[in-house]
This record gives sequence, structure tokens and C-alpha cells, in this order.
Amino acid sequence: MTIRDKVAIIGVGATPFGEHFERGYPDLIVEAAYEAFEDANVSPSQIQAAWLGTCFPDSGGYQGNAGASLADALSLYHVPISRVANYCATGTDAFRNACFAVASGIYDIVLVVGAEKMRDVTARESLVGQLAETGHPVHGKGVTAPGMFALFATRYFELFGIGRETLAKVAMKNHRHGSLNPKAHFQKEITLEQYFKAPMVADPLGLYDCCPQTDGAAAAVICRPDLASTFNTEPILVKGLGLANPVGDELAFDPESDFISFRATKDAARQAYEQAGIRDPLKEIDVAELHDCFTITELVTYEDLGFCPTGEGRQFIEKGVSSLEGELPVNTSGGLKSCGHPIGATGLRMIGEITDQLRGRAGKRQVKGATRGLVHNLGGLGAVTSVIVLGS
Amino acid sequence: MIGILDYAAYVPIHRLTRAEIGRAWGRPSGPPHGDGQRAVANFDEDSLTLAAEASLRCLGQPEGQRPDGLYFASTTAPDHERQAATVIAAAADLPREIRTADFAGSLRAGTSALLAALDAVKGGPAWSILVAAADCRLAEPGQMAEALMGDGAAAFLVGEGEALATVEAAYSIAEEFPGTWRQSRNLYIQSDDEKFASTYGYQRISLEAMRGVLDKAKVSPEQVSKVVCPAPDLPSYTALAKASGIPLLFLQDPLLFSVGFTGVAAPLLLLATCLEKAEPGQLIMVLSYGCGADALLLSVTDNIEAHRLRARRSLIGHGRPLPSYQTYLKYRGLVKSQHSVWEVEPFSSLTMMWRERKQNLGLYGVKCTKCGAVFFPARRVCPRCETKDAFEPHKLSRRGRLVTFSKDRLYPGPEPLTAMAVVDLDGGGRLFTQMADSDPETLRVGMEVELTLRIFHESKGYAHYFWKAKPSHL
Repeated sequence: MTIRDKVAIIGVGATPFGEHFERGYPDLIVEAAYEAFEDANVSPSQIQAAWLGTCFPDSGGYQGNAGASLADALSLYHVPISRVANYCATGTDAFRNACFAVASGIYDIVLVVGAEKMRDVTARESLVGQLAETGHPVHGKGVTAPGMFALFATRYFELFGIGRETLAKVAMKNHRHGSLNPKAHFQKEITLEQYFKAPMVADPLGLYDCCPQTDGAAAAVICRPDLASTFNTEPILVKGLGLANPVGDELAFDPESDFISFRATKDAARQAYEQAGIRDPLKEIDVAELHDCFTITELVTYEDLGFCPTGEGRQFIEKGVSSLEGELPVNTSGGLKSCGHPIGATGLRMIGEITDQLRGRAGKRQVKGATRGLVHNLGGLGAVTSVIVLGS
Repeated sequence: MIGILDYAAYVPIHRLTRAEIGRAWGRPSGPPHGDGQRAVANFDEDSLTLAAEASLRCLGQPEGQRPDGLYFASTTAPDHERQAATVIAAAADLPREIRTADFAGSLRAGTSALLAALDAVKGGPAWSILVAAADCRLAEPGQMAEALMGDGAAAFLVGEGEALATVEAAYSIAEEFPGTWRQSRNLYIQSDDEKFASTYGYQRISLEAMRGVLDKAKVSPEQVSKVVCPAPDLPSYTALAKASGIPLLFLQDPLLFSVGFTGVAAPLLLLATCLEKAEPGQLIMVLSYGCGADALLLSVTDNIEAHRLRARRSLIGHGRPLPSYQTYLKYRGLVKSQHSVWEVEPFSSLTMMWRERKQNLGLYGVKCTKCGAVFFPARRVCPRCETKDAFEPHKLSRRGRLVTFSKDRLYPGPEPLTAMAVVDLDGGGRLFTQMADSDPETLRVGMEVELTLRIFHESKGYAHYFWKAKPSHL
């Protein structure tokens, strides 16, 4: 059994990503979902079931705790709704569960929404506060997200003899791509000088190595492939869905962790590649959205996804392979670096970007003739990773 | 032979110069009170953790000596009702069936605990008892005592065995004397007539105790090699030495210029430094003043030489300058963020901390009896060989090496930077924790570190103690 060609994406939508002080959590859901309905040419009444991806119900802990939050926002009370939370891979995992529901034949048309309202509290309270105040009282206490991923940067630098100038190349590329994306949080290029002048956040990671705290929602409408053409002439097919959590939350305590690669990414990619029939990802993938929560994550992920051998991420970025004009453009949207990272929304935003690329409607960011794309969505410190392959 | 079996000291790394304290308060530097420096406990240290570090150094590792009692002495125990001795015993992985007690209320609580421990050994209920004394006393900011005091700890293992020194005589006086005091509800020590306190209190009572112990042991002052005598300040010390008529015996450095007056820890800390250079056959007198006085006469045995051959770390250490008086205020929690901008209230569950007490305080991981893999924290199913419930408790080493680290400037805390470390422990197990006392610039992958007990946070009004890593050379 494989998921390949059993699910079609017929519509995607997303809010602009940014600090939406004038919009609430339900507003974000409405905007993303209705854009997806319109794109799919379906009405809300045709939806038979829905999945909501929200990782941390940030706004006081009530909105996004359950599927009811989606029902309330859309008045979508007639369908069953599940809420999914799986760290930063929440959006892709909501999508994955929805795909299984369609592939099983139980439902024909299903809605998936990922939403995260992070800026109803200060940026510090949003994720930093989460990590400082939750979790085990003493184990691993003291970290923030950049503090955790910096553990990888330190070790990677030590083993492969690179420095921050390589991370700068990832940041500059993604900012350049983001400058072409009208929905990105940051739509501006940065210079090497800006990169090095910016304050440090968690050494060796500085400000431009980190994605911002952002509000946003993204949605997809999926259906049985045999029905897809009645709604949309250009359905995109799911070719592979991988999800892996081989080390769980204990990566930093696991004596086998090498801090230069994420086993979760390798395992999820193996699953997705096998389903999609991919043997040489560099040649067979045309465009990819990678989880660049921090620049070091993108660098390591080139290697974990098999785009280049271990330890050659530096050459991969420096030769421009992953830039818009390169052999395998990565993060044409600008990535998390430019778009921001409303946690539950990110995975669905990535699916939307790849869908747009495969439909040839990505505007200035269009990768010519893209027919197969990849989404990589990583949660925790590599606690969980989704890899999705989509094809036209 | 009943006596002192081992000893250790711990003085926190930071030193604040009296010149810097004087600068902050607009006081002239120089004598009598403007010279030298004082030791300052880090923001994550208190009397309990200082005493724990001294205790662990005294007991050694990995499988050190196992006393059947632990006494803690301090006027600044972090809790009035939560025994510090029990927490330290748990961190030292001592069995539950031991005697523990906290001694408090007087600056001579350290020697009182030592005498009580010796009595318990002599009386039979215990073979050996660890006595750990520590103090982190606070004077009101700007008061002279603030500059003169220092933070520190010492630990003595007493019992039946190859003693380094035996107690030939002890003489105690209990006298209600209003010198310095601190009411339970107050943070800062108080004093009133300082001349009265020094002459009629410190000097008169110390002299009486000194004569008392000599008479009791039928020993003349000439037979004594050294007098270990803590002092609140240099003028009081020199006046006492002079009044004693035997000032030459008072040459044991009271550490007033390098560490400061360490309160309850002082007599034991000074005795430890004295024993470092003691010769077999010497008589050492220990004076301990507070609400009366204790005086002890110790006889150094031949065992001191074998003891000295063992590799030991420096008792006091070199210290590292604290950049400013403001940092001292911050470390001691005397300035706080009014709007709690950087304060966090981490999740805390007392049931959870109780359930995990052996793992978290005793520092135990688990070892798979099928495949030998070691894990921390504990788990039920082995991720290597997938066997269920084949784990046995595995005592983790407190030494290891840095696998990787980061320097986090975002984590809310009193320091601008929290260094996080992944440590591979000798003998297996990996710990992910904060660094303590480290200079962030000196961190390197592969560097040797050791674990030290620190306060991680206080939530629910309860301090959560756990292990941080610090560079081994500190």
C-alpha cells in the first residue's frame, strides 16, 4: 500500500504572513480557508471533514486547542474536525492525516487548515516563554529554540571547519527569495554586512540566522483524484508522505546523536522517496521547501535529504545549487527565514508554495517546468519530521 | 581512632574587590576596610549548594566514602522548613537510613555540628558523619559588613578510622551576647555597638574559650602550633591576637583579604587550610565565636602525610574578578525586575520531583542489562535493543566532556547569556544541561567538565536543585 496518487490537492490558500495585530486567530483561519475554497472551486458545504493544525494555542491557551476552534471560525459545524499538534511539523501532519482519510475512501473532499496566532503576546512570551516555562522542571532547562539549534551549528562548524559566513549565504538567499514573495513577513534582501552586524541570539546563531515570530494561516482542500477534475483542471497529486520521530524529545540526551544530521529527516525522506519512486533527489526533485527555522537547519537538511553528501552543504549553497536559478531551488518562498513561522501554518504554507510552483503560477519565483516538488517540515530538535513529495 | 578522616572546602569563583564596593558607595579605599576582596556566590548558588560542593569534594568520586550521617550548619539555610542536610545527602547519593540535621542560629553552628558529630561517633550511633558548613550572609547594601563578609563552605568527615587529626579537648561557652543577629523575617544581619561587640563579645569570650580548652587539656600555649581563629574584621583579629598574649600563634591566615569572613563556614574553612600544611604531632587550636564560643584542641596524626600525597584540588582556588558591585546585587537577588520582564515561572510539579529524586539529585541513569546502553533520563523500553524493563539503575559519573554547546542570549535569566552544554559522562550517559561559572569564550568542543549542584529555578516558592556542568579546571 502506498499513498502515491491517491490524493489530489485542488485548492490552497494562505494569509499574508506577518504581525497581524488587527486580525484574530479566527480571522486568519477564515482568510486562508476561503482562499482555498475559491481556488478549489468548492463551497464550504461540500467539505465532509476537516483537520486543524495548531501547535501552541498561544492566545491565552484557548483558541486552537480543539477542532472546535476551526468549526467556530468557519461556522463549519456540520463536519467532524480533529486538531493535530506535532511541534513545528504540525501543519504537514494535519495534512498527512487528512490524506489518509481521503485515501481510505471514507471522505471525498476534506479541508486542512494550519493556523498559529503568535503575536497576541510579545515575541518573547510566544515561543521563548513556552520553552522557558513548560517542559521538564530541570532536564534540558535553559534552552530556547535558537539555543537548541545552535548546538548543531557549534558541532557542525567544529567537524567541517566552516563558519558563520556559510550560514550567511543561506540567510541571504532566502531573503532574496522572500523579496519576491508578496505574502512573506520580510520582503527585503540583506547584505553580508547586515548579517554580520546584527546582534547574536544564541551563538553561533545571530539574528539573521533565525526566523521571526509571525502570525498566519494556510489551508488546502484535498479530494479523491478521480473527482479532482470536476473542481480544478490542475490538481496536484500526493506522491509520498513520510513522517518519522526516531529520537523523540531526547535527541540532546541520546548518546548516539552526532549533532550534524537529523535522523528524523533521513527516515521521513526514505519513506517519502520510496513511495514516490525517487532514487536521486537532486535530479528528480525540481523545487523544495525546507524547514529553515534556522540557517543551520537548512544546511544540514541539504545533506539529510540526500541533495548532497554529508559535510558538503557548504559547497551546495556556495555553488548556488539551491538558489532560484540553481539546479534545485530551495525555499523559493523565502522560507521560514522570510515568511516567518506561525507554527501550525508553516507546513501548509509550504504545501501551497510547492502547489503553486507545480501549477506554474509562482510569479517571479517560478521555477521553470517544475513537475515534482518536496516539502520538509521539522519539529522540536529533530523530534519529528515530515517529508512530502508532490507531483503534477 | 576517632577524629577527622577527611576534609574539603569550596569557595565560589567570583571575587569582588572592596575597592569596587567602596567605589559604589563613595567610600575611600585602603585600610582598615577598603583592601582585599570577598568571595561572592553565583546567582545559582546558595548555602545548600556551596555545602553540597564541599561535601562532594570531601567524599570523592565516583564511589566515595559513605558516611552514615550528614549535618549541615549555616545561618543562611535556604529554607527554614526543608532540611538542607537531606537535600545534600540525596545529592551525595547517601542511603536513606542515615542521621541528618541542620545546625543554625549561631556563627559557631559549624563547630557545634562538628562536636555533635564526634559525640555521635563516640557514643556509637554512627561510624562516620559528614559535617558541611556554609554561609552566604547578607548585610544591608552599603554597610561595612557587606564588604567584609564572604561566601564559602567547608566539609569535614569525622569518624572511626585512620584519622588525620584527633580532638584532644573541647570547651564550649553559651552566653547570650548581642553582637550580630538576624530575625527570621529579615534579610540582613544587624549589629549595634560595634566596639562593645568586638571587645566585650568577640575578644573577651574567645579568650575565655581559649584559656578554657588549654586548662581542660592541661596544655600550655607554647605547646600549640597554630590557632585557627575566624574574625569579622582585621582590627578585631589583631586585637584578639594581642590580648591573647601569644600573637605568634595567630599566624594562620584568616582569609579576610582573599575570601572574607565566611560566617559559620569560617572555623572549618580555616581549619582546612591549616591542615594543608600541618605536620604530625602538632597541636591546633580552633576558636569559633557566636552566642558564646567553642574551642577545640586538635592533634595532628601521622596519617596527615599519606593524606597529603593524594592528588587534591586547591581549597580556595584563584577566583575570578566580579566586574561590578551591581553584579553582586544581581547575584544575591537584591535588585529585581519590578515588572518581571525577565522573570519566568517554569513548570513545576512537586510530585514529579519527588518521583524522580534518585535520578535527578542522586544522579542516576539506567543501563540496559541486554545491550549495555546507558541513558539519562530513565526509560522503560531500550531504544537500542527494544527490550522492555531490562534496565538497572546506573550511577552516573560527575565527570565528562563537552559534545557541543550554545550560548543563548534569549533565555530569560539574571545573566545576559546562558551557556547550554551536551556532556558525555565518563562511563556512559549523556546530559543536556546549563553551564555554571564558565567563561563563555573558553568553551570548546571536547573540553573536560564536571557536574555541580545548582539552583535551576524557584517556582511554587520551592528551589529546584539540579546538576550544571562547569569546566573541570575551575
